[in-house]
Amino acid sequence: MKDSELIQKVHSGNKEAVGIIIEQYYADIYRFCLYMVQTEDDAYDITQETFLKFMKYGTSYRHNNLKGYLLTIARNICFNYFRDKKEKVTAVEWEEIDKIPNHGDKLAEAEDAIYLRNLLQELSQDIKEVIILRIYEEMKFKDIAKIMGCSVSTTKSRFRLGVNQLKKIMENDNEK
Amino acid sequence: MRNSEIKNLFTKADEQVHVDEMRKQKAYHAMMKEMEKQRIPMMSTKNILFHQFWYMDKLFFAVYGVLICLGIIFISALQYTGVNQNEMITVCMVGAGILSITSISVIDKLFFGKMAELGESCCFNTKQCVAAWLVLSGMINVMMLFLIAGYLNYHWKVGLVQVGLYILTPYLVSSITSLEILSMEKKGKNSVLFGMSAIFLSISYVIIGSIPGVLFTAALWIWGAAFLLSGLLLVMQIKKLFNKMEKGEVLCMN
Repeated sequence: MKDSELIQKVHSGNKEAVGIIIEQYYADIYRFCLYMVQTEDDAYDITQETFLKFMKYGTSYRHNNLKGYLLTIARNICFNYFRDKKEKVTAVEWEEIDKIPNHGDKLAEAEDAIYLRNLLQELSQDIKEVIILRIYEEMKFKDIAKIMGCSVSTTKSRFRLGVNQLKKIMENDNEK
Repeated sequence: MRNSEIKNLFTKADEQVHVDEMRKQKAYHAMMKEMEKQRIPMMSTKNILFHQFWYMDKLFFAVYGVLICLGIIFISALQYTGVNQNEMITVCMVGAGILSITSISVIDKLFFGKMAELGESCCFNTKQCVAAWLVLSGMINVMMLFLIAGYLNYHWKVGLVQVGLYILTPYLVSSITSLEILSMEKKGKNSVLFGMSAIFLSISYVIIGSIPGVLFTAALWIWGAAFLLSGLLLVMQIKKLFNKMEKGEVLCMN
């Protein structure tokens, strides 16, 4: 089913369509929020707020990119979150590895998750957002620029800056 | 470092990020709740207006309508009694003034005719109700003034610009006076002021109309200046009234 049809069905009161949207996009939006805010509880809250806002205000949305629209809402809520709460500067503790469900004792992969979150923590919000949207969500620069409300060239330069910063951080980590 | 390496890091991290089904269900239920909330039938704006119009006291609309009809009959009757051009212009000036005062005094009455409940319906505030009436009555009045102007122009051979100035200037002056009364008015207790102002202004127009030479073409520049000045004052008066309404100083039902 096309996104536009799905949206139309949701706004005409189709419960099944709501279920489909949650099934299709909840995990993606949650992960995006988690990489952005780093805290699981807050990521869940923001994800729920994103879907609620979509229900409340998404009636006028007519385009075909529902995921992009949800990401835009999530992104705005994340930025409100940062503004209201002031981002915590403490990195994710390595002790948190124990809290992560460890399927089949894949400790190395659990380390990757924490390592990635700590890496992202080192980046500024704007740069982190571009990195997540470009590499993780595999979005085009044009679409990222639309979500972020800036030019494509700004998005590209933020991306290059982000990749360079990540490279430096990882090299430093390797030296240690 | 290549993009694919960062992507790989994300992919590996993703495998460790598991979505809590309980939280997912919670979001789903919150969405369903919101959907139910949105499905509560809301009355359309058109219906609210229709019901409100049906509900309100329409006596003053009737009075307004009757007054217009009486004016037309009165002017027609005067014509047969053999009045001259200047006298007829003066009568039309008085008529325009009364028309203006009546339409503005209706605003005061509308708030006792349950029109203000529109404001309480959260769909329209007092300012919107007043603005709506000003536009509506303004349209009716303009139509009436056009009829008067057409009549004077056609039957009494008075130039259209002259007629326009002779009718619109008293109309604007009366509007300014009425709006001033409305701005002073406290819960309709000073309604009698509207009547008094109508009498006072009518007498003033009769006096002005009887001044020798005042309705000659040579005096048109005075009329033009008076028209522009009163137009400017009217805009200021409307602004002042709306400011007062916003502050809740006048036409406040709370």
